[in-house]
Amino acid sequence: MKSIYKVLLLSSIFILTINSVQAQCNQYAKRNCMPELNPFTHNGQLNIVQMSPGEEAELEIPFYSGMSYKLLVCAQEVIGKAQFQVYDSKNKIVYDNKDHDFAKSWEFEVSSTQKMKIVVIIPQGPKASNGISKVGCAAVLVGFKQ
Amino acid sequence: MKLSFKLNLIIAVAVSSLLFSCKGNSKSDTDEVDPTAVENQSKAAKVFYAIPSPSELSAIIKATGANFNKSILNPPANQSKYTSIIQMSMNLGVYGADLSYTSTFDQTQEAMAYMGVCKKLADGLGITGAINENTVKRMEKNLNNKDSLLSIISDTYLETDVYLKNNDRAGVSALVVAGGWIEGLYISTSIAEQNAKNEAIIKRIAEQKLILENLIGLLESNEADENIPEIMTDLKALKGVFDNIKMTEVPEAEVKTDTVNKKTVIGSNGELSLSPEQLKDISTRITAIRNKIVN
Repeated sequence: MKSIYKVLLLSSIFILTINSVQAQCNQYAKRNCMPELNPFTHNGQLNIVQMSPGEEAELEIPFYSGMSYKLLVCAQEVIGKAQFQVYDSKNKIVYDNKDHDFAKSWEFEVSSTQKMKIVVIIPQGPKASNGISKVGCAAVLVGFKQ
Repeated sequence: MKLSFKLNLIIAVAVSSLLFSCKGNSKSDTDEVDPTAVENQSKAAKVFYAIPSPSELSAIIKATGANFNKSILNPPANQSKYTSIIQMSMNLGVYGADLSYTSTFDQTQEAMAYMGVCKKLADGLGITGAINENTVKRMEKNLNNKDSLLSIISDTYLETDVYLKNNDRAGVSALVVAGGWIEGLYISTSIAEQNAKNEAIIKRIAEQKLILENLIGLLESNEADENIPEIMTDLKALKGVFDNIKMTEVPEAEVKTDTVNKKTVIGSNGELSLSPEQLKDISTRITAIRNKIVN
């Protein structure tokens, strides 16, 4: 009986803490990243992930021809500056913010509607003194205008 | 006695965690995420799928020269029919797309009506705060300012998405997205049926092949939600038709950057085009899927 309660208790803590982390990431993106999309209209979707130095995340998103887009990638200071690379539909790299002083945003248009892949990389950094990898939120936001 | 203590402890942990979660608004810019929460996080590659918003598709539809057609939309009066989670989720997406369409075509009274039914469905799903009285007042104040209207609509999408994800209901969020995409494609095919000479809209329908691939990816990543498999079956059958659409080959795309305006244009990697038979097939299938949702 005791072990059932232990499992219940630990599960509750785990699930609720994960949810609270997700909520923190969402709040971070809304308050710290979204304003930087201006004057583009945000597409209404938050693409957020918790990342540690050395980790990568990929986002696939189609972009319409005839629109102007602003792609914004921001990460909490605790995990350092995020690198992001954009690949076209033929998997050719078309932008790497490492070549642009780790700029957080990039404005572009596509001549034909195509799906692009955005790879977010958190560069490897020194570990925290307690040996646990630092973890922070990274967000990819898209704004559009005609 | 021990039992009630343990239950109290669980409740206390749950309440304090929820309170902690709600404190998000007062956090500083450089807050760290609690590392203990993610120690077990997988190092596997994280792949996400996103799809363009209904507002983008509405703008694209308008740019094709199509006229506004109220009769193809889901009437607001249907809202009272939707009582299950899947009905409310998918029709929130459908009405959200209708809201974007009416706003983009400056049909402000219709847009207000659609915002009203979106609010009712959001309330029904327990999405508190995403669409509230303040949202409706902001809309009323900005009826003549399309950019502000679209921004308000974008905010409501965002608040809905954030609320659902914060509350571990990403499956419902994916259903809302699916409903919005289905309505957008239904509107597009309805316009194409009425005006076969509108080649621009037909091209935009062909391009939905790319969006559908991502939508299926998004739904698959939320397949644990009990409501997802039913819609997946229909969408995968539709994908079978889109899979036959071929892309014209073009030379390697160029990337041109205007350094003065800091804008880059990525060249074409090919165009998708539809035959009349394929258009008919897509139109028939999306109408059937949409009818299942709204009727």
